[in-house]
Amino acid sequence: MRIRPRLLVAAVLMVAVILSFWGLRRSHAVTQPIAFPHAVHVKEVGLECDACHPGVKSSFHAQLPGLSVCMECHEDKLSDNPEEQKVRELARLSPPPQFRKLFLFPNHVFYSHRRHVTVAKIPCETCHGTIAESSAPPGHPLVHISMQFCLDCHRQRGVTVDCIACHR
Amino acid sequence: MDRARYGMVIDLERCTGCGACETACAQENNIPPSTPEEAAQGRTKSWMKILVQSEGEMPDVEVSYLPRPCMQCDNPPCTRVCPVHATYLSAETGIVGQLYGRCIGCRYCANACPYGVKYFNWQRPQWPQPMEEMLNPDVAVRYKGVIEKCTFCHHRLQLARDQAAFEGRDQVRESDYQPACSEVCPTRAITFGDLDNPLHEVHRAAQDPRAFRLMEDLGTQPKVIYLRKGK
Amino acid sequence: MKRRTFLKLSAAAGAAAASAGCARTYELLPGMNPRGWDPHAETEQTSFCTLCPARCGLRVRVVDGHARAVAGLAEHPINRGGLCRLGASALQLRLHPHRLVSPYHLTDHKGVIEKTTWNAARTALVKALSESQGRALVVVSSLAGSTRIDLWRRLLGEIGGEVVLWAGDDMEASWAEVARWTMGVDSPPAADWDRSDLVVTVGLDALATGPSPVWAQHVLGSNHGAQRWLHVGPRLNATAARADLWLACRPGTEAWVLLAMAYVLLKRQAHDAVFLARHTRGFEDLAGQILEQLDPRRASRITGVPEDRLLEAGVMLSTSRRPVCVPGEEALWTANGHVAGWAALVLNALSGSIATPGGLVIRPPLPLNDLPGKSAAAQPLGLWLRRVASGDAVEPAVLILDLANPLFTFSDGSAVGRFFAKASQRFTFSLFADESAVRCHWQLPAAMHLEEWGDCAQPPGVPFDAYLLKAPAVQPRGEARAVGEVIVEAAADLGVELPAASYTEILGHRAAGLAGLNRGAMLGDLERLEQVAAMEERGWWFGNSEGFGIKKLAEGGGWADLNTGTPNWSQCVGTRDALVDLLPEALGNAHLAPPEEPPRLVATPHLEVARDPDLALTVPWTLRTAGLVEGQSWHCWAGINPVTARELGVTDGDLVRVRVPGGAGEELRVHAAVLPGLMPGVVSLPLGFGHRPGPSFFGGDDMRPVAHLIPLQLHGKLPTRIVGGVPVDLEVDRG
Repeated sequence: MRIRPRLLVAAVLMVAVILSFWGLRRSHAVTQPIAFPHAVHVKEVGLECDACHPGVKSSFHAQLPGLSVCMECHEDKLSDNPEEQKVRELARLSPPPQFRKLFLFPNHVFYSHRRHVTVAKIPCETCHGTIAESSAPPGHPLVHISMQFCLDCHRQRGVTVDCIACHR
Repeated sequence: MDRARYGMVIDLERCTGCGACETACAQENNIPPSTPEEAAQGRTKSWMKILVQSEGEMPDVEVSYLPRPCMQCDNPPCTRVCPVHATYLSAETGIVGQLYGRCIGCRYCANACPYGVKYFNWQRPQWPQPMEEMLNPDVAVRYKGVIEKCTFCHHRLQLARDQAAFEGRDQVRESDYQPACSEVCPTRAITFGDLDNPLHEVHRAAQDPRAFRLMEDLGTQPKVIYLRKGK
Repeated sequence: MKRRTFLKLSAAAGAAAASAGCARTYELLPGMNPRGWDPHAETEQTSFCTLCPARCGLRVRVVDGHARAVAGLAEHPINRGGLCRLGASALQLRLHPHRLVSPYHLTDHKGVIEKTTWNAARTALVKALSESQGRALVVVSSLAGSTRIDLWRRLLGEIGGEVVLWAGDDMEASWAEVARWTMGVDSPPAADWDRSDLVVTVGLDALATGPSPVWAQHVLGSNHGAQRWLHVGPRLNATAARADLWLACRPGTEAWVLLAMAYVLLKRQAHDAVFLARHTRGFEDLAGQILEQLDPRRASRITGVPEDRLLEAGVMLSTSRRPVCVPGEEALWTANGHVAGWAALVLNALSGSIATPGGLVIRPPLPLNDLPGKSAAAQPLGLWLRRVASGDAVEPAVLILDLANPLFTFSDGSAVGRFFAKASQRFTFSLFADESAVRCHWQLPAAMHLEEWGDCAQPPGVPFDAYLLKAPAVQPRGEARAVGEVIVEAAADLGVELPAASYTEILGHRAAGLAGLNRGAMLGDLERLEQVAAMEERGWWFGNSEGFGIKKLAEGGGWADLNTGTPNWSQCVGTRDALVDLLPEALGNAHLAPPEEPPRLVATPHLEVARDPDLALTVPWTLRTAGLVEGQSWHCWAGINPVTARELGVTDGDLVRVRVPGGAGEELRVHAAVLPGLMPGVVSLPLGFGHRPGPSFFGGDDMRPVAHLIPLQLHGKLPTRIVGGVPVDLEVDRG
């Protein structure tokens, strides 16, 4: 069968576009120094969010733990998991590697974690999805946060949708 | 939160032209320093600028100083011409907002503004190392190709509202939200607050018989009110 | 390929590229780790500014250990929350790209500079001082802080040597000298403007560059309507612009403006006869001289001020209950600077405004705990140079500069250069590799005011007692160190006894002497200082982030009224019989020999807020907004009146050449600025331009008006900067 050149070109182009998007998404995926399983720590050990994310209820930023927080428990060997050994090795480095932010707003957005958690009392899953059940850090937020996502909820709850309430 | 109509009263009798407001504004709002070349092209960014006017000849020379932020008009010409709603009048606060994410850099608003308070980023803003350490984390750093202007430091309003909500208050107090210029002025020439709130000082000051607005006849209804020099 | 195919392919490719490009990544705050995070731990530290003598209170916002904002401290008695342009840009000074952040050693062979260590510097400093055999000189800036200055004095007192107190070219020398002649006191008096109903500023830009500009602004703002201001000087500066009356006079003739006002006062019998009889000597003679020889008509000829204005000023003076007259550098840095200072004092005396509320005030020194042991006296640079010339002092073998840049700022750069060159070991503690620093063998990075402990007793610009003590708000940048610590280390190495082992402990020791006063205010995170922690119980107010508030002040029985009340006369005057000498011998007949023939063109100097002459500040924002009356300028300018400009064929912006006719000194090539607010026949020259601390971000290829233009002249008792009143030539540079 003779393949029309036009069709071939179109197909190649389509594949190229798909590949480039997929590649972009991959390169934007966030990697963490340790494959931290939320499921173990939240469901089994029963830690509250602010055990490791101190600013959850009181600050604009929920904040991330440094490896020194992990070492408070993992100084002692608690399992045979090689990732745990990695914690002890990495914590000894100077400076120790950091966990990386998963949610990243552009700097012209003002977001206050405490306003949404403490004042508005939004459940964590609304924006963080099933992170508590994850066994490895996801590369992308489990819930896609877009401005539309924020606006929908704001409209539903009847709070401000004024642009400069959140943009600065 | 309640609605407010934020405005400013500047008493020209008290202004000494010291320029602290200009510097404090530049520090607060991450305004990049200019170069002599940019100044020669008239591209210096001064969200707050002191206009100087001298009249007369020796020995009867008089100088007046006029601090000029964005007028935050109630009938803004800039918002009318923006094709993408990157600048708009906020009904909730009375502030004319500037949204960098939407701005396409057409500069129609800069053209339309009769006061010349819209500044365009012709270049990528740059600070010499390590001056980036002094940037204010509460204010966006703009990029090349967008317009910026005085915002009445509304990032401070965001923080004040957040603090109020966290403390269980539903009102932002007058002293909770003051822009950098009114905060630093050593003679208290600049008063800022909610023009519609009778408890705020601006409300009373705006009705002073010495009050005037710049280019009032254009119908822009500026919310920056000046009190004429002279006792 | 057919055209249609090509077009379709292009469209498809374009669409693909556009959609891929839609994944827009916004830039984050520069300097932030893009995938990192910061705890955003925020604190507010209090401090005070040392960029001018005023010592305004500051609040520093520190986020994750970085200083992100500097604002005024509302409860501080001096600035009440306000700041000036310079103070507001403190962070630019801290983070200036050309700031000295490592110690450097200039090896003499071939002038090679190499980075070195603080240990090596300390060893070298100690060695040099121990071998100096009494020939060491420390030039320390008055902005360095009371205890730091006293530590140098103690060190040099013990090992032998001299200390020069550097006040940016002795700008107060003339006024201090007048105070010594007439009142027998060592420090220039302060003025209680807040309670005065007529403030007369003579060549003093009180609102911009005065000894306490922000405080003066506060006084102006809060006394609005109840107080009048009168300015005397050739230039429409910020103070003249706000004054109720501005007497524009030729530079160097200010004294005769004041004497004409005195004439009116005497004629109207409005002088304070009781005060004059009780507290002064020489009034009868002086009054006779003024009434016979210094009438307003003659004064108008001498000064260029219209006679009716002089009369108006005299009436204003006569109808004021409590006027106060204060001179400044634009009048003092002239050939007749001493006469101007003396005339200012005379006005105060005639009005009875000495040692009274609303008048001149001498504040006795605060009873800080001493540094026991021998201490060298501190003296102005001009006085020290004169002593060297007369053989009373020796040129140093070891020279130490502490935040001082005399080579640049002192009017006789060559006199400074001479003793510089003769000192075989030169050390400097500075913020920039400035003109003096680059000629020093050891260039050591000093901490700036937000980065170190420091204190200040009795800031000169305010009439009330104040002692300020601050703790650092942030870590020093790079390897910068607090100079006080270095002095204490050197003292230990040299075996000089000090009351404590560390700089901070010494500060605490000194401050503890004030505990018994049961009043006062302190700033900074001070709980760490044990000695002062106890003072809170005794009514001291701690302006730190935890504990401040006026309420605490009142609760502790503390000091709420910051005015000193009626000063004690015997503390104010140290002359024989405690009488103010109105016709001191040192004055001679200078006041009766005014300049009658004005030259065609004369120079007048002034300071600019944005440009500290010493500190090499090319502060970006302040620079950009500088020169409000003159317009924006990055480069040095020579201001001239429009009429004069027309006569000389000069238009605004022209490059012109300014030179002293027939004199030493080079030519100044600058841009002309046509200023309506300037006397005709006067060339106004701003000081502080022309620094070159390395490749400056904002150019800086300018000339220095003073050093290039004016030779030093020894006049009367002290060499003073003579810029005002010097005849100059100006022409357009067509080369």
